[in-house]
Amino acid sequence: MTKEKFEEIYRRHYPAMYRLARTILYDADDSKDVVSEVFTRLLRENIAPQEDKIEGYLMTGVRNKCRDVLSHKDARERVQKLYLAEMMPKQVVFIPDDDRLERLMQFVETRLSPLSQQIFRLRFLEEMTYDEVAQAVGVSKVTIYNHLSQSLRQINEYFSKETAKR
Amino acid sequence: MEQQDKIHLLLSLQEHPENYTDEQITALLADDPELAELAEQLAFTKRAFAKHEAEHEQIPLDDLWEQFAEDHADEFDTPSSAQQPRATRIPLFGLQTRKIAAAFIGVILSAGIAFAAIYVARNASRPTPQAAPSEKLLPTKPATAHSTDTIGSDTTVTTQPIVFDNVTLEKMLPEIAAYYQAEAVFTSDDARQLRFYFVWRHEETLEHVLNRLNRFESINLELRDKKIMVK
Repeated sequence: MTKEKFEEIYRRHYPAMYRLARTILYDADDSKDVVSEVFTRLLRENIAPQEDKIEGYLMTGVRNKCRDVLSHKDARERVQKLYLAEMMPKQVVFIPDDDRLERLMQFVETRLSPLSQQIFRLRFLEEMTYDEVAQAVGVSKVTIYNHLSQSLRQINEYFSKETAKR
Repeated sequence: MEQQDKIHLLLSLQEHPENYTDEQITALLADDPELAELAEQLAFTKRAFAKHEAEHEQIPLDDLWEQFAEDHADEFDTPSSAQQPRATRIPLFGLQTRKIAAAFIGVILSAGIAFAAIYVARNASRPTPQAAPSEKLLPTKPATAHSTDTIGSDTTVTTQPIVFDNVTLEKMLPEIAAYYQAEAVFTSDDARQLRFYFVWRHEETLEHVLNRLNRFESINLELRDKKIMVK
């Protein structure tokens, strides 16, 4: 593939690929590596996929690559980083989680207090220790714990209702 | 265990996984479906947060592309070679068309780019001096050698061409035949061990595939009533 052609594909698909990887792996650098690897594979393909298959090729590549990365993590790391087991068998572009993730986020934003959301983000996304979170928001460690525990209960209730609906 | 206790256990597992062995964690989750479910819900929520974050993230596309292009500078095709019509190569070679494919592979081989043991036409006199100038016409793709494994299994995009890289006829032909509900019948044992570099697309008809394979020297395939006779 020529550089011009490849650049066009790269720029068009990078954002969606990166976001998919970020949603699964959380870490920005890991996600960039995965996307880079998938593009490298496309570049080295002797015969490139047809135009209309490229998006599927790339997104499936990202998903499979992420699954690969996760499969090398042990149980401790999975629990610590809160990786979600990739149970879906090989999917083409179709990402069934998308809707559910968005609805859950809506629930979080409307039903969890802003402080609870902030604490959740600092603890689980920023991976701060309880002490660091306590310092950052200016409350005690016990309060941090109570917020997280309360959030988990609400999330659990949300999922119970979701499951009941289906 | 009450729900509150499970939440407590999960939070402490998550905070201090180093206090447990890998086996203990696996066992805890396996023994208590509710705990495992809680863990999954928490992970799913993290995912929702991460997705939300990623959607609002600025992606420095220019820098990323620049870096990628630099890292792979040698691997892009040059526009001239991509547009070069294939037919113009023929007078250069002065060979029969059916031998072009084999000679073409020979060029890749002699350029040292690709594969160790491709079966190249036995009798084709491929004078390297003639072949050498055509190297420039080739799309430059160093290290593009994918094994069939990585190509075939890694993705579910079914229209992906299958690349048989240095694969014996014995292995390759039955695989192709199966796709067309046909059967490969070897009447000559010599043919079994012939090795090929061959790109196969699913959308091709079986006749077309066999036609292309027949262009290789010392291979003679014939389709008879869903049987591919190899002579």
